[in-house]
Amino acid sequence: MKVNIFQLFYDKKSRKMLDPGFTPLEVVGNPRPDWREYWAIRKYFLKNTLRESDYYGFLSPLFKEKTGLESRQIFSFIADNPGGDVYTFSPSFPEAACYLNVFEHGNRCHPGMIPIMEEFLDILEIRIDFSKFTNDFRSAVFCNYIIAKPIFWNKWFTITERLFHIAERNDSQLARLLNKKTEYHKASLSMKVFIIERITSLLLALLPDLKVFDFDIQSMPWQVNSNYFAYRKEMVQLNALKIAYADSFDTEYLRIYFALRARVLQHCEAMECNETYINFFQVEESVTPAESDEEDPDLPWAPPRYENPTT
Amino acid sequence: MSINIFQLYNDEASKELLDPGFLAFEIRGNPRPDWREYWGIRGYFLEHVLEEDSHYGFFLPLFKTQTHLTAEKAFSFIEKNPGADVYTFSPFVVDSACYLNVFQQGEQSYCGMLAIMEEFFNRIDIPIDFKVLINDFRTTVFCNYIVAKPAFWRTWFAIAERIFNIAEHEKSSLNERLNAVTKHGHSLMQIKVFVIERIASAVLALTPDLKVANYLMPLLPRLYYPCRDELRMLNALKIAYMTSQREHYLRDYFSLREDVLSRCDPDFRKNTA
Repeated sequence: MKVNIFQLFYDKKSRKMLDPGFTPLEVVGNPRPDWREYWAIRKYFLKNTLRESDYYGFLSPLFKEKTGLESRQIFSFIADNPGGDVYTFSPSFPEAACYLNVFEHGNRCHPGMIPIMEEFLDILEIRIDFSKFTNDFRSAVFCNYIIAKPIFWNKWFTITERLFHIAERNDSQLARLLNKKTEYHKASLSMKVFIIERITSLLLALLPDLKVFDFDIQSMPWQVNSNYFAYRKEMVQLNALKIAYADSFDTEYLRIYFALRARVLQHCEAMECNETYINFFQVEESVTPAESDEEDPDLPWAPPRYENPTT
Repeated sequence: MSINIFQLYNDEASKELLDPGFLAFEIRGNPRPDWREYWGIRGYFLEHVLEEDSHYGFFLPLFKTQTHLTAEKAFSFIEKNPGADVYTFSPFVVDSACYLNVFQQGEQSYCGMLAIMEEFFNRIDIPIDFKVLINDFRTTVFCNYIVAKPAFWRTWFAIAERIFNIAEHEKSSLNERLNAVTKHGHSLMQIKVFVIERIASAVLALTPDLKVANYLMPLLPRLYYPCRDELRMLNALKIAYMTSQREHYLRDYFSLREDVLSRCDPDFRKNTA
């Protein structure tokens, strides 16, 4: 059993950020920055045969900054929790707690995501009611900070490749929506990037039999609006309510979840940005996306755009 | 496949309480009142062969008083939730939410119960740490209001019979403590009755593969009504601890429980003042 953790880089600047304990993986020439890190992961999966008992992960150069973790902590977390199919290191505590699932969060930040996701899942014949679908701390993973066996990656890649080909063919309304730019702080990125990022969470929720070890999300560095800090206990309760709902399908837990969530959001941010939505499952595209007051640390390190030599 | 819900009685007064929708089951002569309903259930299991696909339940005459349910409602719940191995109709939602498990709740009412349970389960090679054993709404059953397939009852009866044999035949400290008399409301009962009552919850907590449909009682004591969402939250924290084994859920549980009891239970306020 080998743990293969790659850390992507695009240029000298991002190379300097790498943790020497991970294996550097250069995105040579960065030919398709529109796909962000998916381009490199895809290339790796297409060119390499994965070993069933090995683990694989693909981390961004900002891993340390976002999680506060060094490679030795990752390897020792895996060694201390043997036998997992999946190890996650998701850094976003409030996002994981305060939204029923990563798609509700996505729909708030990138209006229109849920309808696009529903159309895509229709093609895969996967029916999901996002107003009842839950991602708890076990299954809510942002930034693709996941180390997993092929039993997970094979399924993940099957789904992401369907999305990739639809977007690349660009001959349908769904493709146009996937390729359409959406706001990401002050930059514009295609919706497909944010959907690909969420496929991990989709799968982990749909596959409860996968043995997942999630690194304690509460110990991650505080990145967002610091108002949330005072609501740590409530956010843990929100997570417990999601788990209880998933365990029982008793909708009373959802009612209490949304009531408590509304209180947390009102105190932490909604008052500031005049947010009027009780939930974010139906957010018109015309609505200004929710913003956080964080400076997005990814932007300075966004992959540089190279001219594609073939065009 | 059939649903056999018996309702026990042992005299004219208790017969009058029966719901005609259940099967009346007389404990003739009530020869061992010290075992309460266990004597009746035990007699049934010793004399009958259970059908694997059928469900069996043994309710007290007080079922309606304690649950506010009729036989019709109980059968309707079972019909609407097909395929379960076990159906529970446990009253006392507050006791279920505000204690980590039924044994901690029992210790509160019957001092010494936890020590008895620890010794008993160690004796039968089922070591249980009652400080972290979780009974959530799904696995808490008071009054034996449970309707289950033999897959459940076999385990239950095997454990209950070990208690029965110790309490009946053994010369030991455990025997003495099981037969010790304790107050129950205005009457006196032996602690073995309350121990047997809690075996169903232990079996359900220890066998998570059993498919359980629990009827969650909608009625709460008046004093707890303002904390109805918190009672749910307590249960959610227990479930979150069970699924993740993360200690912080337990800390949050005990903190919230103290808050709920301080607000709703005058005795708790008095005792902690």
